[in-house]
Amino acid sequence: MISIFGSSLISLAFLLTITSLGLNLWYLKSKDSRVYVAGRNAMISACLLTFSAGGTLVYALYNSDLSLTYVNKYSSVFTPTIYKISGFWAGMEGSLLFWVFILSIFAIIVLYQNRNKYVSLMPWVTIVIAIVMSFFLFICLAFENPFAPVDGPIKMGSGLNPLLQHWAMLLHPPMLYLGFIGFTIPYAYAIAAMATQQLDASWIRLTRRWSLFTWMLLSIAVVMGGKWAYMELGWGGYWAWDPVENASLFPWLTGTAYIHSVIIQEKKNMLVRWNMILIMLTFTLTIFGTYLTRSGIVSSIHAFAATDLSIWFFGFVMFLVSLNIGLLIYRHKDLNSQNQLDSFASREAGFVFNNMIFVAMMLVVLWGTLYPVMTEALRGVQIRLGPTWFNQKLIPFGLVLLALTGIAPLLAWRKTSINSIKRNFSLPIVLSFITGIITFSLGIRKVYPLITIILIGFVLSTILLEFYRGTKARLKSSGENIFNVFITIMDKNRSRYGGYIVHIGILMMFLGFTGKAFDQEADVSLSPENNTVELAEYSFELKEYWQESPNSHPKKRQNHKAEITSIDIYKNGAFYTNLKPERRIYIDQNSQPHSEVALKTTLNKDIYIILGSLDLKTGMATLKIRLNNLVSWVWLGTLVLIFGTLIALLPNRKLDE
Amino acid sequence: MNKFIYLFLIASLFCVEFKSQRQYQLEQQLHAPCCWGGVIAEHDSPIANGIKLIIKNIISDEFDKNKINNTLLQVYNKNVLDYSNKFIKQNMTDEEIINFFVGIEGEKIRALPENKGLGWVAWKLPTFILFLSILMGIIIINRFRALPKEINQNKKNISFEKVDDEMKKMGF
Repeated sequence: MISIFGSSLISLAFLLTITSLGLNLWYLKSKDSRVYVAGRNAMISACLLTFSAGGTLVYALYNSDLSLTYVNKYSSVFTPTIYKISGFWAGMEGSLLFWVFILSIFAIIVLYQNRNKYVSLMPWVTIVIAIVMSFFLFICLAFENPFAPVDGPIKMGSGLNPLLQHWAMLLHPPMLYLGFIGFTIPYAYAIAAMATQQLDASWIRLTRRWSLFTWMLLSIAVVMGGKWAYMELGWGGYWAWDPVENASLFPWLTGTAYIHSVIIQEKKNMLVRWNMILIMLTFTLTIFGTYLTRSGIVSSIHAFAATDLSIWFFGFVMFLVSLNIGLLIYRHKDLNSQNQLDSFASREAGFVFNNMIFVAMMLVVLWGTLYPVMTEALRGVQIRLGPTWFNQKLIPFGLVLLALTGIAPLLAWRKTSINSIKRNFSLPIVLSFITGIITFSLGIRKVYPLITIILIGFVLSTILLEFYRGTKARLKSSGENIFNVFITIMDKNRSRYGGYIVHIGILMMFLGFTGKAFDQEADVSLSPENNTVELAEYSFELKEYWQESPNSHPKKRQNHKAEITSIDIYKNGAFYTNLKPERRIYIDQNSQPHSEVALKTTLNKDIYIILGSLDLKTGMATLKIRLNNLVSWVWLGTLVLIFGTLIALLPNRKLDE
Repeated sequence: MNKFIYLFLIASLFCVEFKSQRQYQLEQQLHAPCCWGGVIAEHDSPIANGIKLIIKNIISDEFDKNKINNTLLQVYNKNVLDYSNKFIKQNMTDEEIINFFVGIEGEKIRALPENKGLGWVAWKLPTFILFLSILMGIIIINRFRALPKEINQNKKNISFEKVDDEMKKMGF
């Protein structure tokens, strides 16, 4: 019953999306406002039906309706409720419906917000959204229907993969999808602007918040994926340059370039063509990333199982590329910029170089990701590039970007005089030099970490200098107290100061990345007879070991049993903390084992323990112990990045008026 | 095989120390043959752990060929011993160690390409892209510098006016 109901909702949504597409195209020819309204209503109805289809699948998962194949594959009667819900995006079929589910929410917001506005743009916006929605609904309907009934006798369900049973996995996929799908909206406006020849900065202003919000969500998603990998995969790192990880990075890199370069178009009416290229590239890369993770063209432990969808996604990517190139050629003359740039020593030039490096980084990541496809085509064997290659090749790009983050804000618009350069750069250069000396004297000799910390010192001093100058100028003119002045300058220019806060977040993340160069790892074995090991300033002592099962702990161990060790940790002889790494056996996943990381986090260092094996008879436990440096700064930097973006997102009364 | 590798691992654990930088770097340069889904440093599968142990023994100051052969036997099979006897020696370079595993598992195990053929392109292309991007930046800025000053400032609000006009015509 639920199978027929869910499938019908998807079918109807697909039909209404096609109808809306047709009506909007007809409106463009007829200019009959009734046709436009009908097209808009058809789209809203399609979105509501898609939303209902998503709700129906959640209902089926929540109630463990095992009459559906999808529920059988990604849930079971033993699965904890919260992970039953996250089953929505755990498998291919559900995740495709989830994609279109989120797009339908975005589409409703856009259509409602602009129900009586921008009638020249909105039909085109609706057409673009309808094309994307109809593609995904078609895929759901024809190939990957999450409402397909179970074939054969109904069982207990296979349960969710243990790796996906983690809080970060509750957030990472939805954030990633929100980030990916969110770029559909600025892309739709860009295409509308191209189609209607409204190529000034209007479409950029209309989509400024969408773009920034989407970028923030994508940033959170990328970091959240890292957090999940850090906690669940048990190898001690958070980024392995896996093809699926890289797929989330492609649109993030071009999207970051885009949110920087639109500032130039908004303020100077420049980079018109470039912004168009960037948003087209960003959106196309979201679809390409989806293709990469679902086609099986490159092997990844994170990818969905390879299916026949590859040709369809490839076709859709090619369609988008052709459409984008076609439009760019067709509107070539209209995309010329309207203002001159005076000097290389200008903020505009800084933004141009920033953009070039971001796009270059994306190309390098793309090259590294697709290298196995090249080697397979040319040599018949897939040779994947490991993290060492990516780190070696991308660190210089990252350092150039870091330097530009400090340099660009110190440059004036149009042209910076020599005196101004001397005045603005002297103090940050001196401060970065002092940072370098301190770092060196602390014993840090590795080249890249040293350069990174020097650059962090430089960029941080430029940002603080900007805050200081703004506050000082206002203090002189207003006579208010310093706190009020600080709030006022932030309030008056939210996007600028919000941006600076985002940059502080990025600096914190870079600091976290440098810690990786100093991580340490040891494999140890502890037993009741030989219960202590010493590593650096820490000593690890096996206190106890035991087993817990669904019978002994029905709430905590609903779908698994666990072998647990209790390790007391002493730092320089004094008790420091206790950690309990455990090894789980999931009963609903064919007794699949999974190690749960035990972690003690501080700003300086993480103690990270993984239980490899535990012999319950003898108490012999093998453990991997890692001392990971500065990892917390990556997560804290992300929080600062979110805070800064939210400040930049707050409505600017002056601009809105 | 799992049990044997755990036993070997445990045997090697009596002397507890952090993994050497060299060991860590070598583990980053070989893909795990269990699933080819990442480098062996990131994997705890029996074969990945076995390879880690072989590397540890090869680069150890207390080089013991019998110990290495025993581990090789547990991880692979008898056929690999002849091959090992030809290649395994004291003071092997990183490249020799990598090539030893390439001889067993094939090119697929390399996580860093060789600096020849397509591998050469893999190494050089990023540097080329970096310089190209800087060159592109210079070209773009130069083109903007060549433009006449403020071509058409009046164009700025045309679209909104056009939209407003159209809205009025439509009766919104």
